[in-house]
Amino acid sequence: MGYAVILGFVGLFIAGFPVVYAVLIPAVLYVLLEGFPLDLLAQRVTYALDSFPLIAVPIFIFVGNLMNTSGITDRIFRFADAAVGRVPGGLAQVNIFSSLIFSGMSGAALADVGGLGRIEIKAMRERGFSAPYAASITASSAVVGPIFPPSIPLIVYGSVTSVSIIQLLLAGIVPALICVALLMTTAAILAIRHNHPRSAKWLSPRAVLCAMVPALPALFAPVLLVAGMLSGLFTPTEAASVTAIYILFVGTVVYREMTWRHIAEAANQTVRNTSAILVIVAAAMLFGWILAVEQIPQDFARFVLGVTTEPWVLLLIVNLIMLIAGMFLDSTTATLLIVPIVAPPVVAAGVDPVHLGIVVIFNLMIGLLTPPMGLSLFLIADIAGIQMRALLKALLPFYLPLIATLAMITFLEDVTLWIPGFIR
Amino acid sequence: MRSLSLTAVIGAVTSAILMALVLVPFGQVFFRGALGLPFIGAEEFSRFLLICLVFVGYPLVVAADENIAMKEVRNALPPTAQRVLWALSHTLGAAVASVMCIATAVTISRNLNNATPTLNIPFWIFLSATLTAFAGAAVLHVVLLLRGCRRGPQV
Repeated sequence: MGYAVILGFVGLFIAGFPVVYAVLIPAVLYVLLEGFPLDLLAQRVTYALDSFPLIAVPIFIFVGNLMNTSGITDRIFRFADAAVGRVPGGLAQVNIFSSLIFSGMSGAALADVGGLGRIEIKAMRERGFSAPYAASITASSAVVGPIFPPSIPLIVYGSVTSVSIIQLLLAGIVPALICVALLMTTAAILAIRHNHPRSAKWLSPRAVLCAMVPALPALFAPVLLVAGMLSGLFTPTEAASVTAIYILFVGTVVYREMTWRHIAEAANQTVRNTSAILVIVAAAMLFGWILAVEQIPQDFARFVLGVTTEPWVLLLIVNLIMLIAGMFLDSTTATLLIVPIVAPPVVAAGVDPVHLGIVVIFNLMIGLLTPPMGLSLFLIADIAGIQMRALLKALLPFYLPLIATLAMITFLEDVTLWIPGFIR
Repeated sequence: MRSLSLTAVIGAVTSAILMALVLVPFGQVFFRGALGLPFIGAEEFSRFLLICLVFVGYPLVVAADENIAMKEVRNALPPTAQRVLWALSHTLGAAVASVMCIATAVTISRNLNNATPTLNIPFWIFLSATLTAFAGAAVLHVVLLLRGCRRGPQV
């Protein structure tokens, strides 16, 4: 019966049913047919959200939406242009560098694409870059967002697996920096080969400083977040709340560009984004309970550990499963439905759960850039007004640094576990 | 017009809940860090607000057709098959939301005297957001199905 529930989900999902119903329909049928009490449905679904760490999800979505209406995004972009605009690749480097700064405040790749991405693509096209190239660099650099703190996918991962969310968030810092370095190197190589435009001259330190001063309040937000969590001053949820209040303060008092209308629009958008994501978390809790009752994770663990107990082989298997899952499922659904099955044997074989979390989420973020269900691809193609085929062709060179980062994350455990080691 | 104003009301209520959700954990940091005082019940209240935000806001997601779904395979099918799947998705959506709504009502009726541990929030208030979500979703799926049958579905 448990496998019928999984097949039911897969069938409905492929048929284009909303994920929440693709999960709920077979799960509700299971509960009714197996004669479990009706109370179980409401209780499992409601109490799935009775979680303090999950509160960070709507708050970070709100921060991302606020930043796009508060003038912060523009200032980050101008500072990045002044700092790295002369590097070969010019605005392509600015694009990657700004994504890293932006991701230090917003925990979602799509917020990066939808907000900063619009500004970046417009500016790159005005300076002579092709639309597909501008779109491809925006999409690939947005992958950094969900592994650099804060990160909504890592918070969801932590709440599903009961792994320390603070450690997960800190573990993403070094991989994100490596990914940015590799993306910038790729952009520089492409710029030299194709003679891409760049700023005419290096700006003087004074000019860079002048561009940095207006961006300073924005640049301080990720410092506040990471320092607060590392020092034990805030939990991730409290850090989200402090960041939101800080961004509201910067937008209204320091930059004076944020109005009540901006806040109301950001709040409205946040409510819809949050409900669409977290209602799946609620439904998946019922689904997870059914898997547990049917002992499906145990069956999978027995099967996998019967094949191998080598941690690196298991990590390769996880990479393969999550890369394929990422091609078809959005990151929340994949985290909620696949991780509870896949994680136990890998952790049992000795892989650190924090390390596994970064591997899983990075795979799923690469999935945002792969057809057929690459949400970033659809959004960016729409923003840039280009065909999907042109975007995929321009993206090809950028898969290389992403796969190289994934390989480093997978096989060099210290890349992820070095910073969390300070608070263990 | 009525549906639009109802959407606006839900939007305003949920936006207010979101603001409270931002302020309560911040208040917790302020009380602990600046005043050295505990903010009793802050965590429980925040969790309650999150449940309210997600479930009360869910009808907005259904109304705006913003449920997360993979529609690529469906979009590649012939128009007739697309229409059938569209209708089936709303019909089964309404059915499962109705079952969830009934299940929530039953759960509330069986726990009328229960309350949360710290703040004593009555259980029926705690679950009323879930009831609102699924009742609203069921009604909206029926409305969207009927509207689609009259004007042609937006597939």
